[in-house]
Amino acid sequence: MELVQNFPFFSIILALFSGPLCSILDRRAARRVNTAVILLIGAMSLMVLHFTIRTGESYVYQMGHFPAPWGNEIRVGQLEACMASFFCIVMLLCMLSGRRELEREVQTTKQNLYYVMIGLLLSSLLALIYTNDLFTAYVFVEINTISACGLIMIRQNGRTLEAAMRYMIMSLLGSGLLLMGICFLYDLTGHLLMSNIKESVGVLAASGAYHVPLLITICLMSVGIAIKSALFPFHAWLPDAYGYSTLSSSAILSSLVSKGYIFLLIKIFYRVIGFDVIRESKVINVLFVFGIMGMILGSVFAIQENHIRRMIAYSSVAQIGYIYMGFGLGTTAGMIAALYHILSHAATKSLLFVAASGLTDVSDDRTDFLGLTGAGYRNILAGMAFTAGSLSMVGIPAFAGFISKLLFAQAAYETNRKLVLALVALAVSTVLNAVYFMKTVIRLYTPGWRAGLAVSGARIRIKDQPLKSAMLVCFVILNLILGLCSEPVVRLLAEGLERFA
Amino acid sequence: MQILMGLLLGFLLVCAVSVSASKSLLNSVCIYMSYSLVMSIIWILLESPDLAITEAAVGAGITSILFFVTLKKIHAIVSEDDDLEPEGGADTEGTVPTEGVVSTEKDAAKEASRA
Amino acid sequence: MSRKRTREEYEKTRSFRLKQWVDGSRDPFLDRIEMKPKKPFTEPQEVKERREVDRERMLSRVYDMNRNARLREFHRLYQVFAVLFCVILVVMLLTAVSWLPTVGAEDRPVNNEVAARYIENGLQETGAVNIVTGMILDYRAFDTLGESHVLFTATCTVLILLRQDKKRKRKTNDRMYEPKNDVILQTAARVLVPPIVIFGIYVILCGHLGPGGGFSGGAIIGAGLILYLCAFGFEKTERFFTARTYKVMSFCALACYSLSKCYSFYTGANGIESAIPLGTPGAILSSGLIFVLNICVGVVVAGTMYTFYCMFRKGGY
Repeated sequence: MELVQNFPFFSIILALFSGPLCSILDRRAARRVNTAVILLIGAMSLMVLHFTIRTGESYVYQMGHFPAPWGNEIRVGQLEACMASFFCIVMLLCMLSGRRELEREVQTTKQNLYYVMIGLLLSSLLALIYTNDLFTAYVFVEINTISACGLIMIRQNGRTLEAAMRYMIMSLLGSGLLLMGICFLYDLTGHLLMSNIKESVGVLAASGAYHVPLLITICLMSVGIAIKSALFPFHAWLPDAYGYSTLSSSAILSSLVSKGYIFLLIKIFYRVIGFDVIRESKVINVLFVFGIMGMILGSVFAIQENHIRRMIAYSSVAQIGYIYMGFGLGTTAGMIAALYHILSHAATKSLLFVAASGLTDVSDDRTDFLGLTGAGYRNILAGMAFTAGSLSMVGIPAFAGFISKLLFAQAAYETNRKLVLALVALAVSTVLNAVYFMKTVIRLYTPGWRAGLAVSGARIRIKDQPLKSAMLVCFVILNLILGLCSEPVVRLLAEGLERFA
Repeated sequence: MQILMGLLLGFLLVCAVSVSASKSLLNSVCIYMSYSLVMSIIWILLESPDLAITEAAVGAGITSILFFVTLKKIHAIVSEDDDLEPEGGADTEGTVPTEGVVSTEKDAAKEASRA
Repeated sequence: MSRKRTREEYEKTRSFRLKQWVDGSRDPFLDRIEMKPKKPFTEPQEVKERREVDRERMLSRVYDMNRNARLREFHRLYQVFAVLFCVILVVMLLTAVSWLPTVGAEDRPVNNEVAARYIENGLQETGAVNIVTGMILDYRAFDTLGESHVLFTATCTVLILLRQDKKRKRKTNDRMYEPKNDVILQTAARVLVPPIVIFGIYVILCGHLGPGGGFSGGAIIGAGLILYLCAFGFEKTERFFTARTYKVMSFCALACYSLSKCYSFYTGANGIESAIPLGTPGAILSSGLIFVLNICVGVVVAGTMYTFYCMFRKGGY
């Protein structure tokens, strides 16, 4: 076994260890440790990605002295390594851009606890990506939930506390349903290892025994994860949580946390239950319908909003609807489109949050649209970055959002009955996205005197906020890479998905 | 043994329903404590002593204490020497006179709509 | 044919005295025990007002149903939907459970080769007499590593929310947080706390020999520490348990766990033999790493429970 094959395990343990380590250090040392850990894990994941592309197959890493069904194991393939490296890159960019806000908004003595939460969140995301065992996934889902609540709560004002409480209650309900599904599945199959469960479920589905509990199990698990990743009817916790927390928290939550759960759902669909069984059970039709409703209604709510960060949060609801629509199409192409959308949404949404923060900085910290009039002239870089993000969301070619919409449309062509519905929903939601994003961009570039604002002269040059400006440029470059060089990425995802099952 | 198990499970159901139906938060926490205790006995009957020890220590012990401390902090428990009177007036029980309690939302709303 | 008794005769019977006691109209201790005369419960007006003013304000502004039509509608819909949701969930779960294989039947899917190996070879492979402990700390140690970090995350979140770091005058009256010296509580604590702590230590150390293990033992020790704190106040406990103690304790325990499991997983995955001896089953120093891991987990759990209580009570140690 080569050294590089140990790297996924090292990444998980290093991230887990960085939690207690940051808790005993003071805030500056904790910040350095955190950044170093994320960099190291990103580098290790890229090396693992290179290895898996070179060998072309996924391998299994045994955790402990006992082989698979008796002990734990993690499974590393192309898709997992790609996701892990991408999550590390986005997390690093988000953490670096939110540094100033963190020092301003969070109590000095509690900043090291924030880095503890980030380290544990990273470890749970990595474990969810790599694990091959259902119960390990549940344990790390618990860590994910609690550290996400910690991320929201770290900025202590009334709104974040209420948002954190609502998030905690809804998320725990989702975890409870997921756990019930896991218990039923264990009772029906007797295994906790994903590959073994899939065989047993295949046998059960073919013989027709226990079809009622199997259906209920699939429903429970899907609903549980849908609650945690804010699919349409269960999105109530999202706007408050993303809209009021500190910048790096909102960026990380919107890009990474919900995507971790969606990746777990993909894993459950492919590796635990098997996509054919899922397709027969018609659960994906329900997810399709809710995805479409989310796409349209998320945008409708976003149009009605007056607070820029809540508007971006509602747009997240719409984008998660896209991903579930991709699931609901029921084909491999749909899944690849959904995976690509995970990547592009992670890159774009964090860009939007960081740019919005840059814009509110020059507007006296006002987040309503009246106060933001003309902010694009005061902070040129943030304005351009926000425009780039909006164009990507709407789906202009050369940006990442265009490729994902193209992939969704192409995937819809392979289905028969869902074609019209999917295309109509894509079109309507593109128009709605354009309404609220372009409205914001136009307002950003309307000169302030037209709205009656006294121009305060609070301009920001690039050298006033070097780190944030550099991060904005990096985010835009990431978006452009995903948009212009999408062929290799899509091929990577497709090959990874083949070997994923 | 089956009868005992059936009785204990029935008691669990009654506890669970009365926790949500009870008007006073302090009563709910005490009923929850007894729920934990009965659960611990059921674990023994199902032959899992590790779970029984953990349930008794954590459920009937620690989480109930934490609930009591929380209720005290939100002033949902009124005791007779809150005002540091030298000879405490003798309340018949340490629990709540019905006026001062911040009870469940339904109850509060009913009172408000009645008022 | 029963004879109707007169009221005076009834008042002499035991059942009437029992009824009075249950109703509360007669105190069984009055005139029988030496006690100070009881004053009826009166609250001074200011205390009563202080308690009621906030509640009135809250009810009138937040829960004012008369003026807030939207709240009223939501309230009614909420009641309906809550009941509907609970009923649907219960029916669905009961249906699913009724279809599952019966408990204890021979051909259940759960009785497969996985469980068979744990039961038959558990003792030889892990060295632990208690197969459950062997399973959670040796076969599936990764899950337990995750669970310990769940506890740690929960403690950090509570610290974020409740820890008060503002420098205030050190001579605050800690009596606000702990009651007056209660003789009954202190005597009981003097008698109970040592056995509780010793029992907790026993449960932790003999986790691989009998029921128990790190989690239960840690919870028991935590409960013992909480009892000591409640009886004797923060001054006494600050002498041995400060914030620094908790940090050092949890960091060392979790680091020890992570490092030992790192070694174990690395050697396992790469096919190297582990250098840690398993010992003879039944001895206290046996089962390899399980003994050490139990202690680590127990230390983390005890610190966690005590920290929760301190944060909830005072916001500090």
